[in-house]
Amino acid sequence: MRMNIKRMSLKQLQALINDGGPEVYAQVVEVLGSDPRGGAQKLVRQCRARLEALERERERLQRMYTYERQLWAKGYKLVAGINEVGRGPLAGPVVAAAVILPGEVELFGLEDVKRLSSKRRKELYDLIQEKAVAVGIGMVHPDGIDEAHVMLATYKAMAKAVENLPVTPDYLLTDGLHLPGVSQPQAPIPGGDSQSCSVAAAAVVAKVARDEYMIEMDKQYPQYGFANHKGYGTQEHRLALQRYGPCPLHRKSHGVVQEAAPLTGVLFADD
Amino acid sequence: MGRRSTTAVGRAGEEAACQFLTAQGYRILHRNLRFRAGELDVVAEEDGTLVFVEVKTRSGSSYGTAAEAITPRKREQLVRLAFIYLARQGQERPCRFDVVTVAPTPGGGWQCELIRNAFGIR
Repeated sequence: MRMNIKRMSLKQLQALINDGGPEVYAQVVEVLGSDPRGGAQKLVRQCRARLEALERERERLQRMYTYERQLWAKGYKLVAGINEVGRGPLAGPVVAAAVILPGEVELFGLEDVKRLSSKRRKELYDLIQEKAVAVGIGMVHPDGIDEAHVMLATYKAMAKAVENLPVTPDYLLTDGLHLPGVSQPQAPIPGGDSQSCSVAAAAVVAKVARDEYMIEMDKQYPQYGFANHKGYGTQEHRLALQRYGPCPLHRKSHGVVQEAAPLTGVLFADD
Repeated sequence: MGRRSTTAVGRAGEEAACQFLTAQGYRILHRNLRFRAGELDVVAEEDGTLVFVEVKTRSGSSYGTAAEAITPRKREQLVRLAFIYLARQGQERPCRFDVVTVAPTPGGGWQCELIRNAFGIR
């Protein structure tokens, strides 16, 4: 490989760098480091910059294992990150995921799921599914659109995600929510998406799983455009809702829920 | 299952439970908090955790375990009420569900048993 690189033209090298990985960068720097040609030095600078970016990314990911590392050091082996998506939309379930990572897996590009493109999310999703010790998913349709219903569905989905893990975790890291009634110790990590790889990975899994579900539901209820907005309140969705009325996936609003339903119009006695 | 709070025994039992919880270091926030969907016996706070406490008062004759006392349906109802409460408070915070069983003693007192984290969300 190294001999090859020495014999290559600068043009060939550029092509190699463009679709090569970190090993290529290091070799180019080594081989061309003392090459006087301007083009060679340009390639070296390019490779150095890429290596530095890679190093920064490694460090960032290592920081995102701070909580996990502490717990692993304490002897917890199966630390599950838990996260949830779908609290805000007008339709569809709240989806939670629990992810147990085997150690400091380098999930390059993993960050707050809201900042990832759908393509990147899917790539990370596949990588997480491949590397994770266990992945559990919980899906719950809220009975209503108001906060109490959605929160209840959120917690239920989280509990289900943990339950659906093929192994029992011994510690839970959540995205700031405290899950009542579980036997494991837990720590809420506010802003966990950017603080913990397990929590961020769980968000990616939940998001991709929910999107896939909504795309599937689009076939059943094609008039709303679920494949595009996934149930969120876009203009397309609102217009369709006005035109066709709600489907079973839509969260019931206060006005729509019948008086007899147990959770409507609840009041404190002393209100 | 009748409305315990409407019976004198139930009310006395709840009073005993609250005294017991206070002695355990709980801060009682609400008692008999009514919603259209039902009632939360006691809402308390312990070490920053919000605790929804279901009080089970036994009459002298019948006896059973606390686990028997909370049916899955009742549990589901309590969890729902708790989330209505949380939503009304407008904040998410650590919470759990405890059960206190209260039984009258022959001497005219009450025997209380506390089960912390008695159940969770299913």
